[in-house]
Amino acid sequence: MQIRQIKVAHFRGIESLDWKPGALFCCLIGPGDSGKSTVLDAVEAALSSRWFAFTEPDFLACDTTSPIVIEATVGELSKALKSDERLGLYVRGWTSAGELRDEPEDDDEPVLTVRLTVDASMEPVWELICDRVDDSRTLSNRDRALFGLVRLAGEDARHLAWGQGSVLSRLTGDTHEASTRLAQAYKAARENAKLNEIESLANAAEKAEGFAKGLGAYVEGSYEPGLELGRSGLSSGSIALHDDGVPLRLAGLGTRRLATLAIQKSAISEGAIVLVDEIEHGLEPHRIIGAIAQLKADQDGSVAAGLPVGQVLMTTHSDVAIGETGPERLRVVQMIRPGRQGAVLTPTAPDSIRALMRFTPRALFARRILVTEGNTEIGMLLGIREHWPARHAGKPIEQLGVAIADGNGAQAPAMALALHELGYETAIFRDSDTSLFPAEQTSLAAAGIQVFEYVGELNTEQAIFSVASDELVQELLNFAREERGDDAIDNNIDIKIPDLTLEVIRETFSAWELLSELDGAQLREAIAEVAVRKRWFKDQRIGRGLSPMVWRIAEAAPDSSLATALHQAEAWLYA
Amino acid sequence: MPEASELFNLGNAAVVAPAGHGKTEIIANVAALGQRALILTHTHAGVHAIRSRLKRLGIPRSRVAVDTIAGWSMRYAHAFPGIAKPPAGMPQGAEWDQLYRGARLALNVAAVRAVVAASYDRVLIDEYQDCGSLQHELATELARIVPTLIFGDPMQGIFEFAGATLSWDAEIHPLFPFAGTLETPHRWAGKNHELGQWIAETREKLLRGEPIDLADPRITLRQSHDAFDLGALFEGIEGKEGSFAAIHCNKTICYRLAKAAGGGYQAIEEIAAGRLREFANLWDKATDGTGRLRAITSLLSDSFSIKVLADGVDVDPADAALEAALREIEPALNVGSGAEAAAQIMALTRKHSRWKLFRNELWRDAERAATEVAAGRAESMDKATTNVRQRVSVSGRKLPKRTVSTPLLLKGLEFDHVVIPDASHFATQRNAQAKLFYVAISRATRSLTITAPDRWLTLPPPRT
Repeated sequence: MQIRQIKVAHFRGIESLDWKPGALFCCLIGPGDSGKSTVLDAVEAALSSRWFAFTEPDFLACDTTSPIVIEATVGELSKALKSDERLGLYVRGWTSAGELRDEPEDDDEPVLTVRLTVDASMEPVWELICDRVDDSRTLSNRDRALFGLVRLAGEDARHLAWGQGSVLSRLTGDTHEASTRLAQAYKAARENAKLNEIESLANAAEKAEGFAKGLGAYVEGSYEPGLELGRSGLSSGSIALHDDGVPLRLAGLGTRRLATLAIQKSAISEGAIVLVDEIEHGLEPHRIIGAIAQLKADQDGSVAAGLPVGQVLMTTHSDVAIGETGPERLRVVQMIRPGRQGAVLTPTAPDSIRALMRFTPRALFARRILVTEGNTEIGMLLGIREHWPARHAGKPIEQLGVAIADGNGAQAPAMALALHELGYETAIFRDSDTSLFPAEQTSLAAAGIQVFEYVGELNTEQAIFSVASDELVQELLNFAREERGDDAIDNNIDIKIPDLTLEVIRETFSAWELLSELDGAQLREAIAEVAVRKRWFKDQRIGRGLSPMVWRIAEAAPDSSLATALHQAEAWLYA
Repeated sequence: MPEASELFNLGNAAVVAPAGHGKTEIIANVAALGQRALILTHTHAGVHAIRSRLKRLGIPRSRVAVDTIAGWSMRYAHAFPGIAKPPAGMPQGAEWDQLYRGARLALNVAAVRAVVAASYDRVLIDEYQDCGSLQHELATELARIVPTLIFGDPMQGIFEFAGATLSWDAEIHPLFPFAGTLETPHRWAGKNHELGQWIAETREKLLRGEPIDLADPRITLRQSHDAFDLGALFEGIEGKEGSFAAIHCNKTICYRLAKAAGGGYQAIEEIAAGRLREFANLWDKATDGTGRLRAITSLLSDSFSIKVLADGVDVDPADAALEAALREIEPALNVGSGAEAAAQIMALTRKHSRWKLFRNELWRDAERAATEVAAGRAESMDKATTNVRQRVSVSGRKLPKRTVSTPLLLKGLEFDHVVIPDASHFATQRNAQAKLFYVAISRATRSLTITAPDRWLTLPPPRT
C-alpha cells in the first residue's frame, strides 16, 4: 500500500494541507512546529486499525465547531482490499498524471480514499469516499487493518510480547498448539517454562530476530520466548521476547525500537505503509544509516522481485538521516501563517540540494537560511554570529530558526533558489569581485531573494584588509602565520611585494609602508590578493578563527562595505 | 470426464452437462478448490440451488460468491456507472442489453479488471446454453481476466425465443474449449435407473431428430387426443409418494389444466408476475370500492375454480356464513386505501369449501401486497407487488406438492413423477421443440407418464 494523497483539515496545528507524496520513501523535514508529526499522525489516524480517542486539543485551536477531516487516498492496493467482497467496488482512479478521479478510467491505478471525520461529539467516523454510491461505506477497524499501516512512535512493549492481536502471535500462525501447550506451561511456569520448546513460538522468535537484526537492532544472544510473570496475570501477553534471557523490552531504546519496527513490518505481507517518527531516536549515527539503508534495500528488493513495495514515511531531525535518504526522498513541511496552511514541498532541483546536504545538511532544519559562497564566509559568519546576541536581547540566531549554509561557491544562487522553492526564506551572502550572471540575478530578484555583497567589487579578503587598521592587519597576518606557518606566509608576501625583504616582512606591518614604494592601501590590496590566491583563509575553521578580528575591523569602520554587508546580513537574520 | 481438480486447472473450458448428471455438485466442488470463486447462473432459483448445495457440502460462504449474471452485472455496472451507464432501477426489456453491454465496458477499465482479478481466482458459469450473445461477450471478457469454466447443455437451450441462440461449435468452443461431458446420471440413482437410461437414450435420438417410441416400457404412455385428459394427471396418484408435475409448453393451457384439476395441481407464476401486476394496476386505477372489488373478483376468477353446487345439495352453512361475511366487508373497500378490507377478503376466500384455489402463489402474493398497503409499507398496490415479488426472488419459492407449469418455469427442478399431457404439442412449438421435450422429460426421477395420440413422436433436430 502507498499513500497517493493525504488531505488534512482542522487537525492539531494544521488548518489545511494537501499532499501527494509521489515516492516510495519520503523523509519529512522542516522547521519545528511545521506539522511533520501531525502529517504522520493524520495518516495513522485515517488508516490505522486502532481506535483513537479524540479530545479538544486535536482540533485546531481547540475549536470543535469545525470538524477534523482527514482523507487518505491509498494505492498499490492489496488483493484483499481490491476484492469486491470488501472494498473493491469503491475503488477510484489515480491517473498517470497523479490526479484523482472518482470513477477509474482507462489505465488508472485503482485507489481507495478513506475519510476520517471527527466532530464535536469526539466520535471518529471512518468511511470510504466514493461519489458513485449514495450510502457511504463505513470502515470497521478490521477493514482499516487491511491497509497495512505500521507506526513506530515511542515505546511500545506490546509488540515485543505474544499478546492477543500482537504481531508476534500473527507471526506464530496457528496458535492452537501454542495455546494448549501454554496452559500446561503456565502450570509449571515457576519451575521452568520451557517455552522455547514450543516450536511455533521459537520459530516466531527466530524470525523476529532475523528481521530485527536486518534493521540493525543489537542482538546479544538469541531471541526466544520467555515468561514475564507478575505483569497482568497469566495470559499470552505474559510471554515476551527475550534476548539471552533478558526481556527485550529492557533492551536499549534504539534496539527496542528497531526490533519493534522489524517485527511489525514483517507481519504485513503486502507492502506495509511504515510511519517512523524521528528515526534517530535512541540510535547512534551508524545505526541510523543502517536502519534507513535496510528500509531502502527492502523496498528495492520488493521492486526487483515485482512484489508490493509499500511506502516509508518518516520524520527526522537528524542530518545523518537525511544524508542517507538523499535529496530525492526529502520532503519539506512548511506552515504558512497566519491561516496555518500546511504544505509539503518536493525538491525540484535535487542537485542543488545535494551540495547543501553534503556540506551543511543541518541548515535544512531551519526556517531561514543564509547561503554563503565559500568556506571563508561561512566560517566568518559563524564566528561573527557569536557577537550578535549581545545586540539582540541575548538571542542567538539559532533560536530564531536561522541557519547559515555553505553554498559551495558558484552553486550558491541555484541552491538559494532551490531552498526558496522548498519554502525556506533565503538570502545570499557573497563577495562582489565576480558578479552574478544576469539570468541568476533575474531569478533571484523574481524570487525576492536578497543578495548581500560588498559594495565595490571586492572579495572578502579585500573587504577585510582594505579597512583594517595597521594593528588588525598585523593580527590578521599573525593569525595567518599561525595557521599556515611563518615561512609560507612570509614567502607569499615576499614574492608579491618584491621591494620588502623577508626581515621587513617579519617586522610589524606598520613599518612596511616606510620601506616600500606601495602605500598602506596598496599594501593591503597586495596582501588581500596573495591571501586569496594562496587560499590562506579558504577553510571554514580558519574563517571562523578570523571572525573576532573581522568583527573588530567592521566595528571600527562602520561605513565600510564590510560592515555594511555584515550589517545587512545581521538585520535579515534577525528580521 | 475430468475430475473437479483437473477441471480447476484447465483454464478456460466448457463442460457439457446433461440434465441430472451432477452439474451443481461438480460446480460446487470445483469452486471449493480455490481461494474464492464466482459462480454465475441465470435465475434466482439457480442461485438458491447452488447456495444450498455449497452449504450441504460444507463449503464456507466466504470462499464462493454466487450470483445471477444479471445481478452481478447490476452490481458492477452500478459500481462503475460512468463507463457502464446502467439503466436506472430494474432494467426493462431492451435495457437488459444496455446493462450487459455496460458491465462489459466496465471490464475494459484496468482498475475494474484489477478488482475482478483480486476478487476471484475462478469464474464458473452455469446454464451457459441460456446465455444470449451479450452475456457471452461479458463471459468472454471475464475469461480474459480470470480462468473461466462454463457448464451447460445444448439440449436444454430452450430460451432460443429470447435470443439464447449461441452456437456451441462456432461461438462457444473457440473461447471455451470442450473439456468433456458429465457421464453419471446421479438424478436417477436409487430411484429409477431405467427411466434415467431412457431419458439419456432419448436425448441422443432427439439430437439426431430420430423418432421417439413413447410406448417404451420404461415410461407410461396413455394414448389420447385430449390435452385436458385429467385421467393422466390423477391416475395412479394414490399410493405414489413424492412430488408431481404436469408439464405443458403453453402457459394458458397450464392454467386451464390447473383450473380443471380443481386445485389438485397448482399453477405457478412467472418471475415477471404479469397477472399480479395487472391486478395491482387495476386496483391502483380504481377510485372507489366498486372498482377495487372488480379488481379482486377478476383476480378471483383467474385463481379459483368454482365448483357448481350439485342439484339438490344444500349450501354448506359455513360457506353461507363466509359469503355473508364477505358481503359485510365489501363496503370497507371504500374506506381509506381499502387494502385492509382486500386483505381480509382474500384471506376469507380461501376458506370456501367449493372455491378451489389453483394459483395459490398469485393469490398469496396479492394478499401479501394488500397487507403491505394496509400497513402503510407501500404507497400503492403496484409498489407493494414489486416488494413482494422481490422478497420471493430473494428467498426462493417453495413449490407446491403438485405443480402444473411450462418447461421454462420448471427447468432446473426435479419431480418424482411427471405427466406430459399431449406430447404432440411439442411438435407445434415455434422454437426448440426437441429441447423443450428433453427438458420436460428429464424433470422426472421416478415415473414419467406421457399422453399422446400416437406411439411415435418425431421432432426436428435441435440447433446446437
